Amino acid sequence: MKARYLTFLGLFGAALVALLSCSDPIYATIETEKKTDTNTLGLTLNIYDIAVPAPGNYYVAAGGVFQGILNGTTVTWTPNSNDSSRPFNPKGAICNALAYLLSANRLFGGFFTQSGNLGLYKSASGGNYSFGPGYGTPITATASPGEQVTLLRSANGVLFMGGTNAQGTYELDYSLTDGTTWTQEIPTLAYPITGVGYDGPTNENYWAVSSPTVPPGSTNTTTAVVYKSNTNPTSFSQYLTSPVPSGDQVNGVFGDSVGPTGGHVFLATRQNGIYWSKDGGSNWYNISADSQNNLPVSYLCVAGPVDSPGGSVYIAGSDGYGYYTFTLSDSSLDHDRFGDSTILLYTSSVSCVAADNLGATNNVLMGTNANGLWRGVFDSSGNLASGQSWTHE
Amino acid sequence: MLLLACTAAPVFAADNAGAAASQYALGDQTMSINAGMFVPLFLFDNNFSGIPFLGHNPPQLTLGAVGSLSWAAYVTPQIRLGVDIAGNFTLSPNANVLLMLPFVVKAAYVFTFYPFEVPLSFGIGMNIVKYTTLSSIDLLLRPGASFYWIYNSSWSFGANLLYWFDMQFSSGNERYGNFLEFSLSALYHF
Repeated sequence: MKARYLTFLGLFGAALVALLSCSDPIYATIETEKKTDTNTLGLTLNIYDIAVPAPGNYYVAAGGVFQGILNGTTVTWTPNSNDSSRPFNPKGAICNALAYLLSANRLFGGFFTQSGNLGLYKSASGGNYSFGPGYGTPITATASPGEQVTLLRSANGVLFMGGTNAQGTYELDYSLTDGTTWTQEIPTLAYPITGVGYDGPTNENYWAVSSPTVPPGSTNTTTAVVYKSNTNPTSFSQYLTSPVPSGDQVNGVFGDSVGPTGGHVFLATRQNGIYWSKDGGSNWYNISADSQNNLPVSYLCVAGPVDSPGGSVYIAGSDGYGYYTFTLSDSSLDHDRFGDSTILLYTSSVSCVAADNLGATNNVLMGTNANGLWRGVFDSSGNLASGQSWTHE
Repeated sequence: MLLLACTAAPVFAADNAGAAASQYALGDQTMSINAGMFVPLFLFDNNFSGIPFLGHNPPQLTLGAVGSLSWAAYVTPQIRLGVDIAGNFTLSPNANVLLMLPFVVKAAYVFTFYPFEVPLSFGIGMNIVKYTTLSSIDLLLRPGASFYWIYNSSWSFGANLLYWFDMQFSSGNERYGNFLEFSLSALYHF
């Protein structure tokens, strides 16, 4: 009997010593955990786009169009989660795309209703960027009749629209007339336009990508097609030296026309991380995908700089793993995952990011799939500023 | 510590001349089911610097719930050795669940004051801790006392008060969690 007990205790002790080496710093994490502030926007919204017409003035496309005004450290949202009215939407409409065009001083939005497509609208101008009755104006002169908006982007004063038409194909259109008239630039695409960007006055390239949008782990092997147009947006052609590996897709395109070296283009891919170029595509750098659960992280978007205007720290939103931060450098191609595992943003899909860094504080807004909008005040290093916590708007 | 508890048993016995004789003997076994409240007390590191769990608003960890199943066998009329599997949870400021699943070997010295019995116990074991995406296997020391009313020769009912000292040896982030369990218990002898 004694021998049995001693054997049992010995084995138990040995197993215990071996197992104790498997420790994550759970208590150290709890020790510093801060409660996330919550606001009134709605915590489970799908955020499709964020527009920042002016410092501290935010518009969010999340079915409804929501306006946020920053007062000091708090954003006041109209409408809020207690208000089911949608004063910024055309009556009965749902918004899935939003862009601000500086030259027009208006927002442009893509809308549909429960019964079908509503199409493209432009907002009122002069500070009240509402699409609501009496303010918004439908734009019928789109490139294809009845075209449904899938993406809106403003790049170097040009308004781009990705859309799908009555034939079921996708296309890229642009407007040089503040949204009044539209030109079909890339017709009859098999897959939607997932991003458009402009890489700055040094390179003067417009970039667009047509790509299937597929969830992580799927077996889709259709390669994204990259398009490029030099100098003006009227000459897009397929970019045959695309850095995107065969079989991979592109979820988002970001063009930074300022940047530390005069402009960049970024391609956020599903399997191979982020590709970026500072010389119009002559050379590409790859920030390889992080691995989570033995799968490459799928990146949904890139935005920045988030440290300061003209800075060098950028953010990539991921599908299910929060966001990653990286600094542009030829020698360092690393990125770091946002590290606070105690808040919901850590495991959220970050679909869009906007940096509001022209005002008194450097606010970074992150839109997620089904986890609402998050806002943090960043420091000049591109990190959440000391003493700040995320607000789940 | 387990050996200490065992060797100390005769000392306790000698100090307790008034206690009634135990009705159990070598080979008798017990099974108990316990459920109750789990109170996070405080946390400290290697420099004895730390925080009280309930000292903030909102608290770093809320009051939680605990449940366990225990088996033990008598090795003498006063001493039981056994194992205990438990589970508990508490919530963080962001409503994340701190989950603990300890597996403990324990020894108990049972004072009997018929119709009551008071087991003083000491347990040692591993504590599987899960929190958001983090996980850890900690060393758990768990001294405590129970108070039972002996209903009949098979059943006793009572309560446990146990101190959980959970040692987390995460490299560079060593922390020692201190908790209190208060649980109601039903004990079956067979």
